[in-house]
Amino acid sequence: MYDIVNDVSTAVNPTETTALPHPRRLPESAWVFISSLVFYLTVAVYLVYGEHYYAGDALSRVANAYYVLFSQNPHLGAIGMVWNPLPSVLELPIVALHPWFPQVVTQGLAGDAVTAVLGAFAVTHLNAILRTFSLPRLWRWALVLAFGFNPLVVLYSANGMSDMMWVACILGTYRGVLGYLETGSLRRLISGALWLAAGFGMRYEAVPFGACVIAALMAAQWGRTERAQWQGSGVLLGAPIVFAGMVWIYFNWMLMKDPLYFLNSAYSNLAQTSTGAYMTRGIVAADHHVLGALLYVVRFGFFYWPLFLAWPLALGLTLRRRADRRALVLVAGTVGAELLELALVYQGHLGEWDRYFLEFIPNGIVLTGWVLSQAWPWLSRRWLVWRGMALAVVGALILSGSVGTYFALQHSELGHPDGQVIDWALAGRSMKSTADNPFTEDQTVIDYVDQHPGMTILADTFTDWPVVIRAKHLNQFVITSDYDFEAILHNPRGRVSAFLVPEPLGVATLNAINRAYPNMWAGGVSWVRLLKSFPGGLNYRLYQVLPSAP
Amino acid sequence: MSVVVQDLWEHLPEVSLVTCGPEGVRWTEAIERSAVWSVPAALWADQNAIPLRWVDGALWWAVADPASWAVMQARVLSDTVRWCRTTLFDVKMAQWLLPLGEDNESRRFGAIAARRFGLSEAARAEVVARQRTSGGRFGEICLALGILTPWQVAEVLSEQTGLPLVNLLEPPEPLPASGALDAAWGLMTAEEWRALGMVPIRAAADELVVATADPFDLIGRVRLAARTRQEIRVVITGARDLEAVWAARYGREELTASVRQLADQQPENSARRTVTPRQRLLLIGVGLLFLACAAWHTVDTLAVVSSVLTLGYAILVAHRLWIIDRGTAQASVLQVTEEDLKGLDDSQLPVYTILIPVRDEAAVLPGLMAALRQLDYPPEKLDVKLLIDADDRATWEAARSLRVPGFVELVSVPVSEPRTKPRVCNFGLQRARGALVTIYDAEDLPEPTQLKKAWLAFQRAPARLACVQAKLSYFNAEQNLLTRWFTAEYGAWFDLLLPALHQARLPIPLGGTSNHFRTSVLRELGAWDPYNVTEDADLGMRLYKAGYQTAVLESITYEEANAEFVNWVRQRSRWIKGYLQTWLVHMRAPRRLWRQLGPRGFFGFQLAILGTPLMFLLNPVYWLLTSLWFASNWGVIPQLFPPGIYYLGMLNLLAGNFVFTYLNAVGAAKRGQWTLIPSALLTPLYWSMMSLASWKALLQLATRPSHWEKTRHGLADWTAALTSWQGGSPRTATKKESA
Repeated sequence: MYDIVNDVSTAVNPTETTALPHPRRLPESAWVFISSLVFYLTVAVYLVYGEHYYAGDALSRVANAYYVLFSQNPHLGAIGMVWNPLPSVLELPIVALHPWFPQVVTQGLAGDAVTAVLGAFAVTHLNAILRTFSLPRLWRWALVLAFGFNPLVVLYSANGMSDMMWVACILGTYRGVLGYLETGSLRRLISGALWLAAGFGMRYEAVPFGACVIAALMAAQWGRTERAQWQGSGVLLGAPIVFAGMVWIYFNWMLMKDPLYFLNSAYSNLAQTSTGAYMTRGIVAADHHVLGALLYVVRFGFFYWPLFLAWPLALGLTLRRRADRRALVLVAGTVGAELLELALVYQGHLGEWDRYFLEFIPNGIVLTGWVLSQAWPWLSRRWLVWRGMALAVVGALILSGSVGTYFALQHSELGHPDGQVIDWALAGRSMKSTADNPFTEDQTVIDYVDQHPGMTILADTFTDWPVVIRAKHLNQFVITSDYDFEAILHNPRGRVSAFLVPEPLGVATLNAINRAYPNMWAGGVSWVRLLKSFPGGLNYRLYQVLPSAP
Repeated sequence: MSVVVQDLWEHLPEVSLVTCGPEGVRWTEAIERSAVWSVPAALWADQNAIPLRWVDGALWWAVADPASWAVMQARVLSDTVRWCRTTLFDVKMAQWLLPLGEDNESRRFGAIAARRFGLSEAARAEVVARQRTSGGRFGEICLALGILTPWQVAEVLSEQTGLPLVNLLEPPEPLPASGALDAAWGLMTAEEWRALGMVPIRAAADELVVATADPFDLIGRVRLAARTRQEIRVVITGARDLEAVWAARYGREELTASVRQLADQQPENSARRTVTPRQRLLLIGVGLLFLACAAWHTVDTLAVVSSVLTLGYAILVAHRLWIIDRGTAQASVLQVTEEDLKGLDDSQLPVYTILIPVRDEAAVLPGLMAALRQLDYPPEKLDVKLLIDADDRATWEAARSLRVPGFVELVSVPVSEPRTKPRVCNFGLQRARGALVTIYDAEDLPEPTQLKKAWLAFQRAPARLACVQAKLSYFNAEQNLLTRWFTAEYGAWFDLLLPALHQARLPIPLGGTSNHFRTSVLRELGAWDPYNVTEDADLGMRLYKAGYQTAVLESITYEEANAEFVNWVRQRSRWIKGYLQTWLVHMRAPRRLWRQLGPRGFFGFQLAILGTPLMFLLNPVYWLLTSLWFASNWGVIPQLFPPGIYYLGMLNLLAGNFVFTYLNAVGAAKRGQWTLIPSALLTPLYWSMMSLASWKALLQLATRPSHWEKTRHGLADWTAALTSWQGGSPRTATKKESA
């Protein structure tokens, strides 16, 4: 009747929210990830099929995944309770393709694929971190390229080893923690926490690294947020890795009846290094010598030499009043990532491998990026000529870090064993004839086993995995992870036909058969008869179990 | 003037306004004053026209010349008006004689109130200031601010308009009951009478007298005129008088409706019967099948059951992980900024109804009143109904002894079964005047701007948005470990789970309070189910089924967390029982539910409504099995878990428990309650309590499905909470000192 609103609810004029259509573009992170992945996968294929390159530990991890799915008693415990299990867990879906594509195991492609994925993640994380530093694009891309094409990074993103997986976790942790400190985003903090926990699944170095990063996270907020917040954020960051550690201890306790089995096992790092197999001049000099140990570790910083400038500069800049304290996380993380190595080399329990110090490369690059981000506002106010020169010179300096890696690897101790690998790979020289190449060695053992399909053999996969994974029938073997391995080892009569025994030298002394019967290889056990010797490699001998056996 | 118009003009009936009883006019008095007040003077006072009376379903007007007639016809575009001719002298005399008053200072409401009731200048200025911002009427604002009583307002209005004043609460003589009056009541529904603010008090063949507290209301007159040919006369009464008459007339009907409306209109959605005969048969069938299989192959049967449950549990764990991911994403809730609020025009705000069911809550009433006074909403647009059980003497006494704000109405809810909160809310809803309605509990401390935020959210959202759920938290989080756990759990629920569901457009189980509805939609859906003990969760599902949306609003209402173990178990078992009840109700016809909710909604419903209680029911079973295995290495236990399932079960036990724990810690952090994080990490202990409550709930579902276990409030130090809340942070309340 009248121009009067008679019902308020109808007066409400709801408005639909409309979004303007915009063309779909592949985000930068996606194409960085995809292009890195394709590159690393290509390198992996080249290394495996072109170079016949192998990385023993990587294959061992793949073998563990193989036992989980295809051994006589498929069970998760077969993954092994010594080395961090996540690499093998991630490889499980690819290893499952073994019946159709055996090379995923026999050539270790499952491991290569996983490292390529994690390597691509590492590059993506790095790019994302550097984006938050507000660097000139030239420098950012120089840093990303310096990392992505660093010879060690390329090798370890394509060889199935856990090192690059661990580096991806380091960078994932940084990305989350730095993102949280910058924006207060809980999502980023949780992401960092999950990458840190995943890091524990890859490497034990995650423990000191995590402790340092958590402490740095809290210190970075100290005095700027309420106590409950800096403490709480530390708890949120640490909870998943603590949980992961507890689960690992629990599984060790449940399956191996020893919560610290991963430390105390006959196969553990301590046991292996105690054999003296890895002692080099540098490690000997560091043994129970603080300065020696420190020097031993620090010199691996040459894997990305600008680190020697960036780390102290970052520390100094962070300690200023009202400074951006994000770099505390990087400064502490760089130390934390090497603490375990430092402790082990001090105790004389560190292997001689250069890969233990791969973390210096991402840490050096991120720290360099951060220091440059602090310098850029000052530089950008200079004359154009100065600015251009600075951009070019610093860009070259960034790239020189990775060129430096190559030269550092030429040093006999810094570059062991990958200096030679990289040289050969760059020269296109095949590694097929390498003495202990698990792709090619022990072929005589494998041929013999395949020719005797009715024979059941007890073999400790700690050393014998190159034989076991390449034999036609895995179930011919009773392997270390089988529930009845220990029982058969001590009472083999009627349960297996033979024992496969490596010569008890170096880490082969830790082989279960050699530990149970130290004289068997030499013929000192009466209830076995030598069937065949296989000279070369570990000098295997196959002993038949006689009816007189226990 | 055209010949046609001249001809029409001359054919209008003629009326004399000054001399009464002219030939051809059957009225004894030409102008009925209430008709004059029903139309804003601004509409006609500048013309030679005046309203005469409401009769024959139309408003009759007297106009003095064709020009004014033409203008008025343009202004009142309707066929519910009739016109009479009169003289210019008559119109001018009538306009002069009637106290139209806007320009007459002494006739203004404020002046009359000052003269009769001593309204101070300061109070008058305050009312005028409010009037400028919110656009309310002077009398309404006086009433809302408690400056005048409803009867005083009526007295002023009577003097201002010259309309008679009728006391309906204590009439000098009983109102005459007649068939004609009954017929008059029948002209409109209870809801319409209430909405229009009128009651018929006398009726004859040609006349209907209605009492109202608002003599200026036009819409009521229009609607009423459309239903009757009788002449409509209006007298004035007080707002409470109206309530008393409505209560006497409709109380029983409203009580019945509050209990039976949903059950009668949508029996398929009512929990009056929790388990239907068909469901009972099905349950018995499944039970017998299980027993038969178990007798045949015990271990295999148990292994199958265990596998199914383990798989279900794994899905729940994955669902919670997804919640962490979605819940921590940006823009997962509706945000209303300070700028939005500053730009708000209060005069555009609708009447907002707040339903507050209270039972045995005498102790918290003073705090509640303080919280209501803090609300940033024009008080004259607040329709707060304090719903008190008729037999709750202590609360009644406490309420009467308080200085209740003018916008709060004490409503006596007749005692009836089931004695549940939703029944009380349904009773209150029938009297709601607001276009929007919300529920608060007696111990709630809502964010003062929450109503405005909710209104803005409705304004901006699609029309299908029917409900806005504000977040809930606790003001006594730090009281003890239990309240810390409870608060962290609420953080995960309201800051992660509900926002995630909101973002994914999945059904949202509403929280018990601070859910804001469009009143019309709520009524359309049959309001709350009085037989369901988590009527809020159930309503969330029914909204989704009906195609309406629910959103989560970034605004917090602080409540009192249960600080006592037994009290907590009672409350929690009710919630879990309600979830199971809701699941059983909506799963009566699973295929229909699938059609109504769609696949996403269907699975979302299963995970939220069944998954939550199921998880807590299963936890102790798995814990027991694990403990038994470690203690005894009993060989049967591994057989219950086939290889793949074993790992899944292990993952559930370890990763699942961690995910749920972490969820609570993250929820607390997201809410800024960082101090709760250490306690949140002890959540697994809290779950053992949850499981206890769950099993109690399951047993009670079988024995007393609609029994409402009342939660005791007032265990925290309310005064401290209120003081700190007024200071901006309510999270400091501790244990109440014993008297």
